[in-house]
Amino acid sequence: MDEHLNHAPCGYLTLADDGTILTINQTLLNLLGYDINELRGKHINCMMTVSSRSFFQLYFFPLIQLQGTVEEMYLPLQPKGENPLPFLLNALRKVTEKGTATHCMFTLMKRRREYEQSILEIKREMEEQNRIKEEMITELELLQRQLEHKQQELVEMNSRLKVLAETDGLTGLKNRRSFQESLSLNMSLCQESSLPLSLLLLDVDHFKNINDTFGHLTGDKVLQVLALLLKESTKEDDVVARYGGEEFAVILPNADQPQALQVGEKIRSLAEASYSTSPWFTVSIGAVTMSLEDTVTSLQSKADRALYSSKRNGRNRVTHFDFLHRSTDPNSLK
Amino acid sequence: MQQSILKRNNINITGKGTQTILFAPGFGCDQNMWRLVAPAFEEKYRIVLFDYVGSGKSDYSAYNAERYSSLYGYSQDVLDICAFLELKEAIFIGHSVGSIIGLLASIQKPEYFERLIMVGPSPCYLNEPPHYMGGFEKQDIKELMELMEMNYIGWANYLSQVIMKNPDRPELSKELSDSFCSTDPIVARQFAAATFLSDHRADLPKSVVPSLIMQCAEDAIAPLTVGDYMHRHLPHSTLRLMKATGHCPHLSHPEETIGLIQGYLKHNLVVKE
Repeated sequence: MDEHLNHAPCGYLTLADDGTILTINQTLLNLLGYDINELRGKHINCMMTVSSRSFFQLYFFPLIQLQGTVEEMYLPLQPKGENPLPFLLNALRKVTEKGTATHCMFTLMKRRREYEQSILEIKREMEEQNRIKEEMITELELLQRQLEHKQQELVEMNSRLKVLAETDGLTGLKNRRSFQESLSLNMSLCQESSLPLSLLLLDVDHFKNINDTFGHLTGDKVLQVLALLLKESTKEDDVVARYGGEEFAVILPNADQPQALQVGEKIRSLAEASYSTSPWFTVSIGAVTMSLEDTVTSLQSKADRALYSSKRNGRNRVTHFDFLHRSTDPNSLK
Repeated sequence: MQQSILKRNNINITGKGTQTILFAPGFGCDQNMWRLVAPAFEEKYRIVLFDYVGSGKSDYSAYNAERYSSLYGYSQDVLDICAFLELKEAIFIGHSVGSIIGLLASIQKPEYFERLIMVGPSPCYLNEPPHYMGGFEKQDIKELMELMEMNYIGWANYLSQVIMKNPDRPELSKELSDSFCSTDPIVARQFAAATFLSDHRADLPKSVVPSLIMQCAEDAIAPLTVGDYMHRHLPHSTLRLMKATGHCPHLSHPEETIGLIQGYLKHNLVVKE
């Protein structure tokens, strides 16, 4: 071997295709702590770690056979009785008349390896951090979905509670409190739009007698029949409510005096004819149509007076407030 | 779906014969590994070459970490290829882990295969003293994976991708397509884990397809004792020791490799059970 190459500042060896060491320079022998006679003719496996042997066979060997060169391959070598040393390997496979040989240059890269190890360490940390971040994001997304689900449940529960709070348990109609809100709202809306609004107050005639005669369950049944009948006799925008006891109220938005009387009469006649489903009963009705100066209180009070008039005039009739003061009898319709 | 299998596994078909030889590469490299051996069979056989998903010119987008977390995912690829090409009684020639992948496929669907030829197979790379010496300690496998990582040609790109979170890596895919021996670092690491940490010793007795085990001398990856173990536990198997050294006789000693395969193919087979 050329003297310069023998003592060059890097390791050098040549390999046969089967991995046998053909020549090796003194520099590499010194680095690995071998005598030339210990390595010449041996397989290159003997100067490698288990992992670098495998790597060599898996990657170096196919590459050099198929491509003829290998560049910058990191490969640790195993010195005699010491820890492995990191090398950078460049190789070239040459075919000549004398035969085929792979020329390998080994450059020691202790310091460079330190840098690379640090960079790879950072890479691993980054990967780990990315992984943790993704896990946290997944967990947050799960919590977010759970929260949204709970909120949805809450909204649904609230709307159920609202319905319950506004509903009369026996009849399923709106209760008195809800009626007051509806009346106030409907009056404002109709006043703003210059539309008429009428209110009916109803009372079951001789309800105490029905209860006393047939019992409270039958009394309840009458109230339920009446509630159903009220719903059937009114439009969707009308508000039907249980006013209290055997009293009911119907708000008729956009209904003037004749229309109010018409609805009242329909209810009265249907109640009178409903004896097939419950004991015979009748209702007295007081009607009122909103005037400009009316308030929630005044309107109810007027309806109440009209209802009182119906009662006083023999029950089972509809009386409109507008007819109260003109005469006693003709204002009531039978 | 079918066209996508062609693309997914970069299937290349040559040869003039009717009976098919399916060549499966080993760990780390692609179908180019067969370039010194496969042409010798083109006259008499139909030659099918392919790449595993995640290596060579396969469709990297088809990679699925779950599917390919074990060798069964890769053997499913082989079965997909057999089904797609409607193979029957084919000859499967696998190198290294490729032969175990073929063995697993043949256990599941023996009808596809007439015989298996295994070059440097190992059913288990890890030592399990005192009864089994696969050749590797866990630490060796860990070091091997580190070596792969240190040598991954695109790892600077990969590093910048991890840190910069840039999913598009055009430079990288170019580099990958230029080098037949590199794979995506994540894929390579998972394939290495699926390969070197696998233990398919219990599958050997389930084999029903006749097989040839080609055992190299001085093979650091599949030592003689492993070849011997394979032969003792694999029904209908023939063991041939090669003069070739190393782990890649199909590259280093193509003539001997071709000769052995041809010799085995001339033999009549033991009847399948």
